[in-house]
Amino acid sequence: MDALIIEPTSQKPAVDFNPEGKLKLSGKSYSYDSVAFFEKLKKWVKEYISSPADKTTVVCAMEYLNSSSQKQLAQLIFMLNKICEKGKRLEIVWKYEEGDDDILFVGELIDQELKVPFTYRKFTA
Amino acid sequence: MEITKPLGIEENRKEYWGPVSKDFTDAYLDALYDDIRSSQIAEKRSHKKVFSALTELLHNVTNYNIDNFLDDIPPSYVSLEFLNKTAVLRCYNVVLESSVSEIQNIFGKLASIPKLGYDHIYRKKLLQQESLGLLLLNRNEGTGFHWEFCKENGKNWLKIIITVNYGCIDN
Repeated sequence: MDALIIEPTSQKPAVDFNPEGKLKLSGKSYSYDSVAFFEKLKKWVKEYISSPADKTTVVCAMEYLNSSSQKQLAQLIFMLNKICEKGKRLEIVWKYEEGDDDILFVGELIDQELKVPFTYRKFTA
Repeated sequence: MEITKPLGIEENRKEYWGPVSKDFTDAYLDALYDDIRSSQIAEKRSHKKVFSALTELLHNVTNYNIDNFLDDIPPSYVSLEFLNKTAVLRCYNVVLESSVSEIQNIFGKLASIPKLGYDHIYRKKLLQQESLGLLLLNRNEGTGFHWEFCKENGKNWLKIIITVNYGCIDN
C-alpha cells in the first residue's frame, strides 16, 4: 500500500499518511469541497484498516477547521478506531494552537467517543 | 467577482454584489483570510472567530443557492466591516417564497437553544453528521446573529447580520 501525501493549499490541509502507521494532518481546512477532499482520505483509510500496523499514531495539528471539515475529520478518526477490534493499537495526538478553544473543543468531542489514548499538545504558530 | 473596496486601515469595509456561488465563496474566503489576519484585530483567536462566522455564513448561503437556483444564482450583497472592535458581516440573499417559513422555523429553533445547551447539541449533531454551521455561529463567544425577511421588487430577501465583538475576546 502506498503512502498518501497531499501538499497543503490555502484551504486544504497537508496530509502525510504512512502505511507504517503514522498518519498526520495539518493546516487549514475550510474549502467548500471539504467532503470531496476527505473522501480521498477515507478511501485510503478504508484500505489501511484492512491490514493496519501494530500501532497507529494519528497526529492532527489543525490551525482551522470549518464545521463541515470537523464532521469529516471526526468520521475519519472513527473509521480508524476499527483497528482496535483487530487487537491493534491506536493513539491520537491532538495539537492545537494556544488559546484556540474551538479546535480543542472538537478534539474533546471526538475523544469522548473513543477509548484510546488521546494526547493534547499546545503549539504556538 | 467584483470586490469593490479593499480592506485596509482607512477603508474598513469589503463589499461584494453578485452571485454567491462555490467559486465566489472559495475566492472570497481566501482573500478575507489574509485581510482579517492583517486587520486591526489583535488576537489570533479573534481572527478565527471572525473568519469562522464568515465561512459558515457563506457556506450556508452557497448551499442554499446551489440547491435552489442551480446555475442561475441571483445576486446577493455580502460585506465585512470593522466598527468599534466589532466585525460586522452582512449577507442579503434572495430566497424562494416556499423557503421562508422553513428558514423562520430553523432560526426560531436556534434562538430557543439555551447557551448552556449548545455543546450537548453540537456533540450530538457532530456524531450524527448533521449540519453544524448555524450552531457554530451561535456558540461563539461575543457573536450576535440577527436576521429578517423583507420583500423588494417582488422578491423575498433574507437579510443576515452577524456581529463578532472581538473587543471582549482581545481584552
